[in-house]
Amino acid sequence: MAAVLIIGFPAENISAAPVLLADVFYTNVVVAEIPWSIQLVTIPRNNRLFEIQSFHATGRAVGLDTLSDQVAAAATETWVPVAAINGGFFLRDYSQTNAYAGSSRGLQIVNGEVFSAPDGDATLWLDYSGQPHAANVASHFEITWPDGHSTPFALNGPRTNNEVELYTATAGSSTHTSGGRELVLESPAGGPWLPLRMDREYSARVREIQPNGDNHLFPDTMILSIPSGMTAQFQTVSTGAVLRISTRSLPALFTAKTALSGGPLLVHNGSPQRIRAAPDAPYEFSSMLERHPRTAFGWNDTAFFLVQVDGRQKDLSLGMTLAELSDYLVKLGCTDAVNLDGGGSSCLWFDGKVRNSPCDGYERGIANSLLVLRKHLTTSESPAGLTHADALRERNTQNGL
Amino acid sequence: MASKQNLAKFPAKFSRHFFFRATFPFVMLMLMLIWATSALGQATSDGYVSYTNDIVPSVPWSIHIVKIDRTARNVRLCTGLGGGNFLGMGIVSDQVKAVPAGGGSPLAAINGDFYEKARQYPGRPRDLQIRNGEVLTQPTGHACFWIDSAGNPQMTNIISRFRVIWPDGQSTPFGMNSDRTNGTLILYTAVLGASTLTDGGLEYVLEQSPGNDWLPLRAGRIYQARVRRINHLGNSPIEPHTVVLSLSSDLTNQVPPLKPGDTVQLSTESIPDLSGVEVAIGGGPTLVQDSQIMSWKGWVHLPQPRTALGWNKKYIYLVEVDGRQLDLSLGMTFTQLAKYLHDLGCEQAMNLDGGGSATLWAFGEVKNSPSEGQERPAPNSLVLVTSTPVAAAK
Repeated sequence: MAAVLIIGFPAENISAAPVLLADVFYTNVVVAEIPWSIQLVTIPRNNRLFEIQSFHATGRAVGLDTLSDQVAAAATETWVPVAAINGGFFLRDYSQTNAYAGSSRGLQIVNGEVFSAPDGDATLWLDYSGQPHAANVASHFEITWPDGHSTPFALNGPRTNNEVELYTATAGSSTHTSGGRELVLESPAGGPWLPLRMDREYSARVREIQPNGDNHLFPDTMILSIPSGMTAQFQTVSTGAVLRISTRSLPALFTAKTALSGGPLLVHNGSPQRIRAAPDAPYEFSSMLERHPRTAFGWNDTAFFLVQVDGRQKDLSLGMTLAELSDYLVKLGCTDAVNLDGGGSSCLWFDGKVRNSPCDGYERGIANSLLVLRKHLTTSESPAGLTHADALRERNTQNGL
Repeated sequence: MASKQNLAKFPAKFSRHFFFRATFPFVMLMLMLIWATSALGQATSDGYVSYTNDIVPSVPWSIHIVKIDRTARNVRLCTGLGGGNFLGMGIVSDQVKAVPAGGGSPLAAINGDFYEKARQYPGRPRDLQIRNGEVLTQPTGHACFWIDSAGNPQMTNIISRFRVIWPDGQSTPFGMNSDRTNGTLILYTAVLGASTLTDGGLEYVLEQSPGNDWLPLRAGRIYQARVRRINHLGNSPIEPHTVVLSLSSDLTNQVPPLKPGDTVQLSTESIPDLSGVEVAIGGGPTLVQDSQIMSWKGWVHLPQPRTALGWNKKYIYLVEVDGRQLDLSLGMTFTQLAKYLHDLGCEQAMNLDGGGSATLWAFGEVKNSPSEGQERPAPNSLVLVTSTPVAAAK
């Protein structure tokens, strides 16, 4: 509704000597006139030693950790973290009793495994060949029952009263649900099975039916949890029944290795997106017209950009509206960019430490992050995970193509 | 009739001079006069539809309301399109001119859904639209307004299960009449225009499978469609009685190949089921549900021009609040709008696109004062039509 104000950007200064670390460029841009303090990391897209991965706190689909802790946990012998930013929006409940604090809002894919389901919002994904994409992704996740009717499901989050929730061991040790009914699902011999991937159809056999919630999760089974109010619809399902589980979406994300939902899209095909006040989504959407701390991920043909803007600190940096952020990303040269979580979550880590000034005065626990990792040069030349061609072949085999 | 119309528009035209200079008692007296006059509103010949301009001087707010008696048998709601009978951007005053199937004359209208700025597909609404029973766009999960087969207004988020079911039983979700980005399968129909406007990829021109239901595509069905032609160049013509199923290049080797004469199924199912629905339009967010005002935790809203619709068991209300005009109307926050609709008597209410798009047209003219000084084109609209001919108000 509010027209994007195209502003001429005030003078910028580089506060400290820019750092060029094995092709990765870091700098802190200061715009004194506003003021803005911007952390910027650029990564060349043609250097195959770098990979962008998503990570979730604790390595599971729920839980909270600071960005620094997530970076530390993601480091392996093969992959060395170079830079990182906070990820998407999440269930922000810091009470110790909520087992689902830190569950992602929207889709997250970690190394090809689906951690949580899409919710229609803008999603950033990288395919097995490292190419970035962004679009609103609509979930077609559904269970098809033996009688042919189907039910949408959500994945690894807090079970609500009007939706069935599917859990994998990635959610933790148990479903942490209360009441309802839970179907323990196992693989009928031979079919594709866990980890759960996008754009697949799985057969799942009901191994047992539990009359209560909070059942244990194991690596080789899934649990379909039905809230109390919906159990009457599924009375006829019995042990041994075979269900179909679909992880389709529009667009199809069959090649996605890494994905994170955030939003909105800030830049698309070189144009700053007109940010329109159509706030169905909660807080982060309505606050887009105000200046807040911001984090965004962008790219063009040659580079990826991690951009973080501090805010709510009047002597250091006021933060940006989404329109200001869009314009700034275009000015940097991004042809596409997605907004990520901001406010107290907004954080950028580079080469050993957090570089920005989080507005709460400390690093907030966040659900997930986007990491830039460099393949360790001294290890053997066999990167973990599937290649693009492997992934396509495996998916086509599973879908009978 | 003409004098009442002028009075209803009076504050929009003259407020800038009077509000600053006149003394307070004079302003109040004037407002009371306007209120008293405008509150009488206008009515059709049968008295079932009325228009009111509610002025709240203390803010100020200027609110335009069309109230529809649900027992009226000779009026119905339909959706209008920016391009008349095609997708496109168009002002509401023009949208009402495309006479819907079944005939009749437009009585009132408001702007509709949000839209995305796509170069190739301007005027593509963000969410579902059903026009005269024909599905134009797929649901994308926002709040939608629709009228069920029993004639009752409904408001829910609608989950798309629009999909192609290939001959081997596999299925792939499809979108409708939108940009064919990576990984998408898009169904293009005649409402888009002459051709699909795509480049490359793989396109199947689909025709009626003999003996089965066919166009226009309605909600909640599974259609059998036969492949007439295959095109690898993109931009297939959308010939009469055909639709075009278009696959992005990266998807072409991900789905089973088809050859001319093959049959595929197109499902327009959704959750909830919209079988028999003639009218649906997207918007959001929900403002009032079961007489409860929605809350927006942590939101710091700006007042904006807004468009909304609401209803209770007796009436349906089309509401527009002007904004960004300091002397006339400031606009409302979502909370203010929800409370206003609730106080008006709405048990259910939903927001539509606002800002410069906020437009309310009634009895032959735009009643509100659009914030950009003139009507801004919108992708679609909600139009009240009467089957009883009325003389054009001029």
